[in-house]
Amino acid sequence: MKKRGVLGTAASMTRRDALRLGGGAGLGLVAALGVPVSLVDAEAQAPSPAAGRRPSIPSWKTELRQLAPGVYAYVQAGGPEMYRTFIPESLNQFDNGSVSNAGVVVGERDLLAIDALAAPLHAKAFIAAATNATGKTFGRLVNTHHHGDHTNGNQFFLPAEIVSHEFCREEVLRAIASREPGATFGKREFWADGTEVRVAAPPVTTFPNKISYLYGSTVVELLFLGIGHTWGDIVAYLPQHRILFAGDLTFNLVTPSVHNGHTTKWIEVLDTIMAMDVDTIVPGHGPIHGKKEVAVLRDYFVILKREARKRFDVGMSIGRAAADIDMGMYEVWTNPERNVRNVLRLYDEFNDTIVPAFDSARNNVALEEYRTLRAPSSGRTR
Amino acid sequence: MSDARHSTGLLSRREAIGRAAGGLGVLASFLGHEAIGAVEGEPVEQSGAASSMGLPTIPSWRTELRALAPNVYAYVQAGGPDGYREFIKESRLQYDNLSVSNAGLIVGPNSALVFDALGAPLHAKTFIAAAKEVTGGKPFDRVVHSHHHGDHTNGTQFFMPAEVVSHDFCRKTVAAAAANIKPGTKFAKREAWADGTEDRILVPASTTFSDRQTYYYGDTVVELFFVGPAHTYGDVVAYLPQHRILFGGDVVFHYVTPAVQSGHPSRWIQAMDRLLAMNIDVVVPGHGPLGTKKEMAETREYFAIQGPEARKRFDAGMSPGRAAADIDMGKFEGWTNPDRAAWNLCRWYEEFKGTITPENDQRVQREAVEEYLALRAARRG
Repeated sequence: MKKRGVLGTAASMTRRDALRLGGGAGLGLVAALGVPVSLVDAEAQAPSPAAGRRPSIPSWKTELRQLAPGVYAYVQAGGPEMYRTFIPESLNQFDNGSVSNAGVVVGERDLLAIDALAAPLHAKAFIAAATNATGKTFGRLVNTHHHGDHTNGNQFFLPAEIVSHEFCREEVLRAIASREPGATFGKREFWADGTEVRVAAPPVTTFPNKISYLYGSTVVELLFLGIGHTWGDIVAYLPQHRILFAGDLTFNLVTPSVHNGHTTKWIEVLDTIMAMDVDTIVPGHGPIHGKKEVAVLRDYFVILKREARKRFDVGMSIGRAAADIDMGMYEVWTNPERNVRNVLRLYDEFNDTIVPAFDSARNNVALEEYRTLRAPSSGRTR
Repeated sequence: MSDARHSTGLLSRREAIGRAAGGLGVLASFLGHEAIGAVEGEPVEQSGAASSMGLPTIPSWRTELRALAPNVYAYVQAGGPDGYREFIKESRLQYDNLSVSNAGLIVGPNSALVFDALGAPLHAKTFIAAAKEVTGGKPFDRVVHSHHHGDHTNGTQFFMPAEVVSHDFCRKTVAAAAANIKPGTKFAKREAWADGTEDRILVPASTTFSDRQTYYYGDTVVELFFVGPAHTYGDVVAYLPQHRILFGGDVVFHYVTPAVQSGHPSRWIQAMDRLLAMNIDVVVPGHGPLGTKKEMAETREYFAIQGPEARKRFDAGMSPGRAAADIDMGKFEGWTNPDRAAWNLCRWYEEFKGTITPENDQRVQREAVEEYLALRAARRG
């Protein structure tokens, strides 16, 4: 299918031209500086269901879904038919950017929230749905990690106690410190009406590894499973129901983002999740899933790492590498441009220079190159 | 005086007194009502009634809610020769401190945290009344159990509703004890403890952790961390890094004989090593007056002295009660409740046998105490 919104510029060249410049087609061909322009050969690099046509992903709607007595998932809509619920003009294939999920556990006196969503209107809708369903209000909020699409809504849960990993609190404080006092959420249809002032609401309880709560007779274990999507991800595990709120450690039908993470360690965390006694997983983005989708996500990382390594070894630039790698079935997931930042983070692993912070400037350069190479006129359509 | 003492290289009584005398300059009470920052001492008037055994007496301390830093308070319950009768009207034992414990209070912008809940209704209610004067009526949002013993958990019900927090092991043990209370059972009427109308209710933790937990009460950072096994298999302490204050729970005893009846003596020494390596200026023990690292080090010293002496007697086939009576604990003989040495020897022996578990054999420990008391009485008489 045609990519939407990819920037095509006068400087773009067709893949054919690029190959001709390189003097040939196929593996290992070398351009002027000795760097191959493509490592794509006849073999597809990621599983592709049907040659030439990739089936689209399904769509999913916004809903507060009960998973077990006293346990709810709050999923926000996405996919081809539904993404416009939040992003009327998609820049980035069924754009899911910052459209995240949350969870609720019901206690005797009050509710536990898992994540606070990205925007005032999202948070308020979630809170209203949860209160309507349970008749109770939130007494505690867990932030699975520090990213704004899971913490921007924190203030709407106050005076609930906010809990997170130690690293997450530090990152939230840093974000608060960088904001102007009195800043408001920018007006954005379905996100904010423009009047809401940003209020500092950092976690006030932190832990490094594990804390266990009792909600009624339901055990909720907050666990740090290792570095993955960030340096401070926690999951909420309900062993009695075999339910896992995974935060952004799992993405389903949405391209994962490693911009503050570590691919190799994330794979290890996915292995840990696969070994847990879990049936139902609520991802940070995308519809509710099971272990099968964890394996699918793991394969994304394994394949991307393998393909990135080949291109790293021959000195290919990040943007070109990301454009060159055919991620097969994953190409139809939302937000595929994230492959650029994900390759950047893999290159940093290979160079042994990876740190929690994300280098946006470098990414922007790579993204330009990726978009140029992937532009419709380049002949590579998806 | 047992000849075995000299042959095993223990201090003569004279040497023990000489060594302890230097330590008595340390104090039990502090200048000013609002002591903030490093604690300064002043010599406390020693009790006029010196021990008839010629041992140095320990200081006395009064019940008070003491500010250690802005928003940080210790609640110490009275003890020592001149203080113990506030709670224990007739003591069978030297300056009996049994179940007379301490607590902590940290006040945040909207709520307050309580560290330990004391052992009796009237203890808890008196503490709550004193706390309300400094919290301005803010609710208690959290009660932390340093460990499962009743003298730190019996009072929890009076702080409800609040989140109760402890180590996993502590929660399990308190929950089991709570389940064993027959509904309708009351605290026995006892002056300064219970008026006889209060129901026995134990509230176990609903929140547990296994290593560390940090709370931010406004600007005050409160770190809870697990240091067990030591006094029990679920000991946690509260550390305030900005003020270098440690609420030690029963991992720290000042002038009160440490009790390890369900703990692990060797690991307790290691726990003390860990705490003594930390940046700490003020120590709130589970029992006894406020102190500094100097007093905290004495808890370690107690077990460091006792261990090798216990081993010798274990190897010689002596019963734990007899061994406890036989060991001269030097300056520690002047501390309250010295017969706990018998419990402690039982646990040392379990370690030596390789059979130590979280459970304590109450029958064996009771017999050891009886043997200890009989032998010590015979020695005096």
